[in-house]
Amino acid sequence: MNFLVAQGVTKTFGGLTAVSKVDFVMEQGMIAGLIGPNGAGKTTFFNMITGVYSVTTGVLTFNDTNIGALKPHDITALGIARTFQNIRLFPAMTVLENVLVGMHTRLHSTLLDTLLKTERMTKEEDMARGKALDMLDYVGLGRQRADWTARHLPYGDQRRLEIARALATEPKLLLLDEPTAGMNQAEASDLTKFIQFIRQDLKLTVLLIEHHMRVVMGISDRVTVLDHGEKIAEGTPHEVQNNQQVIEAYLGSGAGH
Amino acid sequence: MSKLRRILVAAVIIYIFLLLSPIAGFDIPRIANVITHQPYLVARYLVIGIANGAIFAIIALGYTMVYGIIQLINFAHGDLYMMCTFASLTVIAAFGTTSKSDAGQIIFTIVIALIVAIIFGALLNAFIERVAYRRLRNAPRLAPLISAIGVSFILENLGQIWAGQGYIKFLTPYFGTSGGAAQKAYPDLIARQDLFQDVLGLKGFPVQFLTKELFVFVMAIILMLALRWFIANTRLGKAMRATSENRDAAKIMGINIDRIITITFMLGGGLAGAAAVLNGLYVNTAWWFMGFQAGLRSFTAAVLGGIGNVTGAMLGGFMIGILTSISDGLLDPAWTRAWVFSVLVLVLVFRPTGLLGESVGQKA
Amino acid sequence: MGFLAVLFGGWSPAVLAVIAGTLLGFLAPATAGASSQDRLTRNGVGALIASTLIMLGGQIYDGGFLLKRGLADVAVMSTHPPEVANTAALLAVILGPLCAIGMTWLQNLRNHKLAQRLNLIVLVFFLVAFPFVEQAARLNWLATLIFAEIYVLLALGLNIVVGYAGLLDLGYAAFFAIGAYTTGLLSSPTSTFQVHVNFWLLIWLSAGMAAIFGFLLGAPTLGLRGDYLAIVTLGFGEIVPVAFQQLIHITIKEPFTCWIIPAFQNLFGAQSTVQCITLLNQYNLTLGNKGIKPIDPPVLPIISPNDQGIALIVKIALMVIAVGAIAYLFRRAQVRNQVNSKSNRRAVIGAVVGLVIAIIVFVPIPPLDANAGAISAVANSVLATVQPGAFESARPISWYFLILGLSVLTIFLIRRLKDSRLGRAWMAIREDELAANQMGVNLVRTKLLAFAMGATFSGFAGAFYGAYVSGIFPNVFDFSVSVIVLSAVVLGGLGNLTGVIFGALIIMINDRLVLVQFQNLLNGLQTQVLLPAAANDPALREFIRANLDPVKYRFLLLGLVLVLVMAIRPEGLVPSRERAEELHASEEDKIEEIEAKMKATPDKVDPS
Repeated sequence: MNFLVAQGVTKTFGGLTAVSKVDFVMEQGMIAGLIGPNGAGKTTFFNMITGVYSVTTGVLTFNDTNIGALKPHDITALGIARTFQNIRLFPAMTVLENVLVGMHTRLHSTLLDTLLKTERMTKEEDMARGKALDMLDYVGLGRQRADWTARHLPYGDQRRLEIARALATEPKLLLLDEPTAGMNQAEASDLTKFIQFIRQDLKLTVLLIEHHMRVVMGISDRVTVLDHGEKIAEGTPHEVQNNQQVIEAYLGSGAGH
Repeated sequence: MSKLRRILVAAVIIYIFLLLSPIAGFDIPRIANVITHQPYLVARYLVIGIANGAIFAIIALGYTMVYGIIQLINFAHGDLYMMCTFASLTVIAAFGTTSKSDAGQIIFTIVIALIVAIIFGALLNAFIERVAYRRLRNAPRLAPLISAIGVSFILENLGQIWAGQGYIKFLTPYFGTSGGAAQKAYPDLIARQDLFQDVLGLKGFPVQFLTKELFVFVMAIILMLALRWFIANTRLGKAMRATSENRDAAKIMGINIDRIITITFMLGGGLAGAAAVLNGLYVNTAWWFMGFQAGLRSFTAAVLGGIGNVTGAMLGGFMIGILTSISDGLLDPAWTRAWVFSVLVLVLVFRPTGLLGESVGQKA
Repeated sequence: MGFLAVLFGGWSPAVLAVIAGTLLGFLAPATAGASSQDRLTRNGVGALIASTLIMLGGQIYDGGFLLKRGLADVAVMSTHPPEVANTAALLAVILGPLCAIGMTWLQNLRNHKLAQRLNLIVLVFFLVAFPFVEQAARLNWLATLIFAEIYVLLALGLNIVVGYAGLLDLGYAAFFAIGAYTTGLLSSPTSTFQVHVNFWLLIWLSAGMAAIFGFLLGAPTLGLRGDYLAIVTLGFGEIVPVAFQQLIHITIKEPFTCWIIPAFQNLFGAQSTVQCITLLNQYNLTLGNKGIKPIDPPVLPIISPNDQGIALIVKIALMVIAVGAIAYLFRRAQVRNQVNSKSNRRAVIGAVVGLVIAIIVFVPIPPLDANAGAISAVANSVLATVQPGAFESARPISWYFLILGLSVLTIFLIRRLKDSRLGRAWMAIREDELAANQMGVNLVRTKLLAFAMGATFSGFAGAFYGAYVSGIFPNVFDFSVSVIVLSAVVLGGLGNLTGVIFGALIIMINDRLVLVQFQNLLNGLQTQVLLPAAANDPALREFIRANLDPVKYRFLLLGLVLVLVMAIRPEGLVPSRERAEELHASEEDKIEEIEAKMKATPDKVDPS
């Protein structure tokens, strides 16, 4: 049984090739890091896994289901959730509602249930609210602020809320797009520990894009390096750190900036 | 299997279309009959469509430029065009020029009317922007739209008064005092000559092509080329493009955003003024509600071409113009609006950002 | 309000003062941080001032200078005897402050739940009592109010689409038209169908039809984003009235037999041999500009002695369903009894309301004995609103309660929707479409449901409109309807039910009531005062006659209001949740601090 498998996955926009023939395999329960200079195609790769973009050529399977052409909401239902590089909460909704939206695919009340307010629906709502509040506690936001409007949360808490929202979809695979961006050293290491904790606790598989080298090297079981849309290296953090091609890619892009 | 199903679905849709579309005038045997027996009629519709389309295109430019720069559907633009029509009409009436006046006076009047209408449109549009939209730049998305609708109502009502429903004597020497709802005559200043029969001397040439149609077309092309040159080559034009690409970046680069937006509105307003004179001289009517339909069609044209795209607006304008006149002539004028929007929906379904709109990939 | 009193005179000052006082008492506490005692005095004084102004307004109208000019005999003027003005003035000055103080006291109550409940009771009392007071005071506001409520219903529906789901719909009037035409076509003697479906069933059919068209419009267009969608809906709004206008000589010929096969045969030089099948020939569906009228009014009770056949079966089935639903609610209350008293109470209330409605709809209500004194007279006038024949007569009270009931039902349903899985999905789409999609929200289905639900409520409005006006014409449903409804939604406060209701009421009451009355007043002023004064100057006379007419400036005024409100409060008149939250932010912080201290147990689950 293969968890997440990409075979020769390619994405082109017009004439531009953003991701080129990437092979990528993840086993259940691992934490994998995806690194590479800016514009290397990391986020595009994420967007293909989550269905924002369809795969141009190649095969992308999750639990043996081909997800290359599925819609994002179907992929979420299969058990893949994500966070965004620059936080994308629902800013005018409350903290609690944000988490409840995450539970969307796990709730089943229909339009008719809602209009008639059937018992099924009220029970489900009560259950969902309880779960969402627990989730807020779980990620360390605390349930006292459940009625706050999301945009009024401080930055770090918005990140946590985004993770809570993603976890609310009950994922098997969690994609984190630069989760520690904008955080200081201490916050970043807090979050790293938290990611390791949820991996254990929820039996999650995690794929993360990260720029903080310390974070990604400290947490990942395996690191994959993309450059100009192509996979240039893969291996344990130690192997990747000493890979000549990777060093060149980073220095090259560093010189470009 | 799925391909077969797709073909079947398409066949069913086409059949239903063929079955029902004659209700809205799309009666293929009748149309085929007209095309085979009176082809010059079709050519005539094309000519009318191009002349009307030129006018739509110029108005559409005002929509598309404003949209490009502040993402606002400037609902008042059509009514601005209407106001410009009345401004030019008042000028012509003040000169007392009619179609019987001598050529020099007619040319002089048209030039003055054009200048006045352009300046009037530019200033009015800039004024509207300053009063109604500027403070709403960072407001919720719908606030400026509602404000624009409000301005549209105000202009329509003012037009109504100007057209003589009220009694403001110094503004309405031409109209008299009552019956403002009816259409007003706009003097037919350009001699009603046929290009082929009268000017070129081709007696019996079946397709009618009036000199004023040529006039409208040539003027419109000149205006469009001038605009394109302005946007492509002048400092202001470049600043405008930069601002519509990325307002914040433009600001950092030292571009005065407020000034650029004002100039964009002035350009749009000026073009609406020119379009108003062209339309008046061509169609020879004016009324206070004309802005709504013209605005709607022009905006449709802008969307069809890809809103925010200047070339697209021109293309869309001509397309809408031709579509309108073909539908008016060959199908059923009562259903023209329906046809225009059906084509729009069809285009948007296949090209969601319009014909020439950039297909902006969703950014995650 | 004082201005309104100037316009209407008669008993209006008393009514207006009560409304003003109540509103003042209700709204003022929310805006100030003063102590409760201060508020009480301040609002009392404020209401006294307001009432005095209103009273003076009434006095100006009735007893003041206009009367001396002989205006009293102008048709506009009420036929109230002079003492009415004095009584009304007295009532205004007394009742206004009383209401304000009462309402302020209510808001000051420590027990918020109780205060809320009492507020609700006051509101219900006002809504129920208003038409009777209005009739007694002969104000003639009810017809306009009914129209305003139609717009409230429309605005509530549009709010789902624009306010919740964030989809800009500029052609909302189309669904209104579809609802109205469904009603018209299925219950008018002039309609081609020649059927008379009962209104109580038809209103659901109309809503369903509007919803279906919501789906049909939505399906091809929902891939479009933002303003592209706006223009397409605008186009749809333009097409629908055209269609209703033009569907008067529908000819449908089967294309294969009528021209495709003959054309091929002609191509090969053969004579055409197929018989053209004509499905419809010159069929007049909508009667075009002539419109459909009259339209059957609702009938009470729903079952009449001369029903037979299918109609009777359907009606009996409906009755069984209704009884079943009520029984279910009672049963649920019983089952829940031990578990949750709140939902238990709700179920009982629902069942009782259902029972009352069922009685009204199914049972012919006889008048009481008229000789039993004042109480039975009052009861009779209440009962008359639901007695057989209530809607056929020109009494607007029954219609008022019908539209009120529809509005309440709508608000009820929309509130349920808002706090549901679906409602959250709508708002998530509004906030961030991509993120919502990534969280598992099916964009197409959710948007379609928003369109369909929005359309449903305007279908209600359309059905009511058709039956109430008893005539529908295609040009009624033009773009200005869509725009006014959209303006109401944005003006009142996008996404906020109270705001939306206020927005619709303000726009409609100003447009249809105040402006018209103002016109009447100016007319009187003109014929009685100004024209005689300007007798010597024909140009001036002409100027006055042509321009002194506020209705001519209605669009100017509406436009000015829109621009001004957007300039001053771009978020709309009624503060949204977020604004309210910012106002209360300091208070909340305090509570949290206290809570934090009281807890003081570091039970954070943060594993870091």
